[in-house]
Amino acid sequence: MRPEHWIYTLPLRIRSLFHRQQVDQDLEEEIRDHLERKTADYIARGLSPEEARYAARREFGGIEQAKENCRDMRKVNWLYDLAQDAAYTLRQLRKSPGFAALVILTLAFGIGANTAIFNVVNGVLLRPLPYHNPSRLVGVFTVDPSRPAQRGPFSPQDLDDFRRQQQAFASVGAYWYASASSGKTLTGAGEPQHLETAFVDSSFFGTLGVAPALGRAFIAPEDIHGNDQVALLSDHLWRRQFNADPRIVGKSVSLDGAPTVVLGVMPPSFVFPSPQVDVWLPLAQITDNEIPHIRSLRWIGVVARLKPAVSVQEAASAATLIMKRLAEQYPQSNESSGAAAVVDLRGTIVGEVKPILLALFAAVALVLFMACVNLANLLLARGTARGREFAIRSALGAGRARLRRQALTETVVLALLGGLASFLVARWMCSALLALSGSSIPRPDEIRMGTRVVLFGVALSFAAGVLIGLIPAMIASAGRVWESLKATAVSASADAGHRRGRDALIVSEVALACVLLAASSLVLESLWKLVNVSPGFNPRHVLSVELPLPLYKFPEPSTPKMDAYRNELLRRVAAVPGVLAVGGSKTLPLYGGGEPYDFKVVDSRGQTQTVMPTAGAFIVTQGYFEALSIPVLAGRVFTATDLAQDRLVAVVNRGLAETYWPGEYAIGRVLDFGKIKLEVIGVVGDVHNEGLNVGSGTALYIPASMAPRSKLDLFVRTSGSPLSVAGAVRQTIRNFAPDQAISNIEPLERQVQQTLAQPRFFTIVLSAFGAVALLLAALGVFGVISYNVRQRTHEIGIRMALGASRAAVLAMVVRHAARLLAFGAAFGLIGGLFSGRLLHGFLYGVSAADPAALLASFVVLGLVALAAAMIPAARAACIHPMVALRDE
Amino acid sequence: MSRPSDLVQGTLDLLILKVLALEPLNGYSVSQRLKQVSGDVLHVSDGSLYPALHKLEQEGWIAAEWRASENNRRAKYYALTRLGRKQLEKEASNWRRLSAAISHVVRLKEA
Repeated sequence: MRPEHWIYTLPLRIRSLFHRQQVDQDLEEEIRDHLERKTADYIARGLSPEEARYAARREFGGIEQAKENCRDMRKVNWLYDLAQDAAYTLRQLRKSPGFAALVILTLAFGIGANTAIFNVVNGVLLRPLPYHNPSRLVGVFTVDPSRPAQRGPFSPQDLDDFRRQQQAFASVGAYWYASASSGKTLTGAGEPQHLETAFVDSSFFGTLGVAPALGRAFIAPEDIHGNDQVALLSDHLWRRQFNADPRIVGKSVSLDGAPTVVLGVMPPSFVFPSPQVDVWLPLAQITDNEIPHIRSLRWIGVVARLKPAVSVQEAASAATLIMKRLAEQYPQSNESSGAAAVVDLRGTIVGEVKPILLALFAAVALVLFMACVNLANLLLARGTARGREFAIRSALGAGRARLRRQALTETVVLALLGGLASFLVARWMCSALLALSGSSIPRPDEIRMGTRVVLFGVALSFAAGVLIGLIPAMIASAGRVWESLKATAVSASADAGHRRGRDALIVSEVALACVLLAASSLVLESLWKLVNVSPGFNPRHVLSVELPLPLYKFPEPSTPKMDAYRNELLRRVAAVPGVLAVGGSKTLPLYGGGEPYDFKVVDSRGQTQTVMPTAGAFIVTQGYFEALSIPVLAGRVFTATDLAQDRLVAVVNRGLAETYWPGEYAIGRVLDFGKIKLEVIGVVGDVHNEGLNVGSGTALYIPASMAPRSKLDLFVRTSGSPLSVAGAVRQTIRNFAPDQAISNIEPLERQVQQTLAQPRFFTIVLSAFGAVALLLAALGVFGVISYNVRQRTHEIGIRMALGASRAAVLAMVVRHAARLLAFGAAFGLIGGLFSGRLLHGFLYGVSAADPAALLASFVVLGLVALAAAMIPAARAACIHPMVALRDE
Repeated sequence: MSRPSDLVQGTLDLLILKVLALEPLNGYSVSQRLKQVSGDVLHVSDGSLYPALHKLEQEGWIAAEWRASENNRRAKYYALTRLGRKQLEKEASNWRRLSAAISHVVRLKEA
């Protein structure tokens, strides 16, 4: 039935809309035709033409009224009215540009901020990964059943067994990537270049469903060491280094001195496991010498594609079963990996930042809501001033619905204008957010303003407009209309409901401001605590120089040559003027990376225990502790001689010494690694090796001569500023070893700051929102109290004439404000505790209900809001009674 | 001109639809025909006739057509549409039910 209906009526509607004049003319003609026929009738009955015409007209009745009624029947009237209202609104706005500007700007910022955050949320959390059928992709991890929150990689043997036994996955891919330590040096093409390298097996690209843009991916034969001198370039490396020349495919390049054939180039959208990866090599290149292939050493990452009917939970239970079986089969090595976790792949990439983004999204929505409440109040004040206008309209026949619609149209038009401006704000805010976040937001390239974001902005503008308009609209049409027509102002009891409504709005604003301020103070305090954590070493005046060591230059077990190379490097850098001390390590402090070695000790009670240091084992050179100013608490640390003579010595941190030998000497204790035994020669202070927010735990340091690694991070303590010696250090290294690449050279302090990038980003943005909320609440309170004072001017005049002092008037106004604040604060307290609970995961050293933070936010809000109320209160106190009484 | 009773006001749509079911007419002729077939009982005021006609047109129950009239002018003729015919049946059966009920009540024997 419906489609037929439209066939008849659609042309009619279109005509009424677009050919209005023609339609009106038709109506005229129709009525005229009627009158003519009637006139003809009367003439036939014997009247004169004059009388006939007159009679016909009279019989018709009100012609204009009838025509108007006919027009009212048109169904598209609402559309036409809407357009009319909108045009009227625009005209009115032009008359009060200040008001319009205020509303549009406020909304532009509010909506823009929301759109910006949504843009980030959309790109990072909502957009699917750019792989084939990405919802079926998962990451697979080993899990220690006693510590289910921590997810770990696989060992080669476990992975083989897993592959054989698994049923839940259509395909499984393996990879290894350790930023900056799994690197290769590209030589033979200008300066030696450090390339971030990821190692993958032949099923990796197939599992993800990605094919190279040029050439081909790895195939099974390349999984065998010997056939693995092939590589896939990243798009950015191809453009930067090889000028996007397609003929590079098939050519050979020199990576770590070994000729490697370039098989192809990956598309620019492919950034797994990291956007920094320059080149992908076969996993087979990681031989037993690089990383021992033993069941207990886990380092391989796994991605997998679920079979069509299998859910993530089913796969997880199946995987856990397999790992449990392996743990039973190999108890010594697999005790701490008896379970498995299967997580959707996007989740593994964005999981860490998801709660932060969602928290910010909620915060910014609250801010917009507060802004809308303020604007609604503003409109209410303006609306009541326009009460007369609405009264006249009502008298002329406008129905309540029409009045309501007109008021609503005004706010929606304003909001849509604000929405238009908001896109500029959103774009600017987005770039600011990304710049502020450093690299702590994953998938930054997916953050683009697409259709979904634009639709969000438009929908939000519309919603804001409706929200702002609804409240005054309902009140404007509420039939108080006739009241405003009265000559004398009424007012003591005028719009009590009106006032209650506005008071309620302000209470809610104050409460929301409380919540945001409480949240801001919590994270601020947390950040402050974090920043003030002593890392255990002194990063100031230290230059960090990251060197990928050319291990390939030293045929396998020739560590003396490696040692000589390293020692000479250290010696030469130490000789640079301005350098106080030099030491090296494989890893950066605060970035983790301790080796998972375990060993046996005899503790203070004489029992043998297996120790796996929680922070791991660190491979360091002589001078390391001096360069980083790590205090030596007992014994001594490594010297050049220790390393030169390959002495079997080790240094432990205080945590380890206290755990196993509390109150006793740790010096001289023996660490039994099975194949070798190391003697403890010193105890050093605790260092937050895994990050400022993680405890220092137990850690072990072993000399670099014992475990040569392909990466060395030199720490150069300088007397002056670290960058002042950077040039000289670079030159020295180049003179010594021309094809030694330097992957990074910057002050250590900057790298330490980087670890705080994420909490800093979150704190700054959230606090900014808190500050805006405070401002909005203050403006809201100011607006409402001012308005109330103005409304009660008459009453205040009477009071003063009857003898009330200025102080009493002031007190009356302030009391009202204080009452609002008290209610708002009460709700805000509840909300603040709630939000504290939600923020729990982000806080360091601060409890979710930290009284200091909550108290601080209440005090600040209270003071600011009271100050905002004081201005109108003071004005009220200064009212001259005669003026007030005369003012109606 | 006698003022139609309230009941008839509400059934104006029904009457117009029925009249147009007999043959397509212009506005003036509709009111004339109605007067004629009802034995001069039902008079529609011009001021209510045209709004009703326009409403029925907007609903899609009658369709309009401009024809040339005498003196080279245009006249608007209305005709029942298929949808209108369905609507007519529906309203007619409503009317039958309603009037039967009223007649029944009126015929009740008083005590």
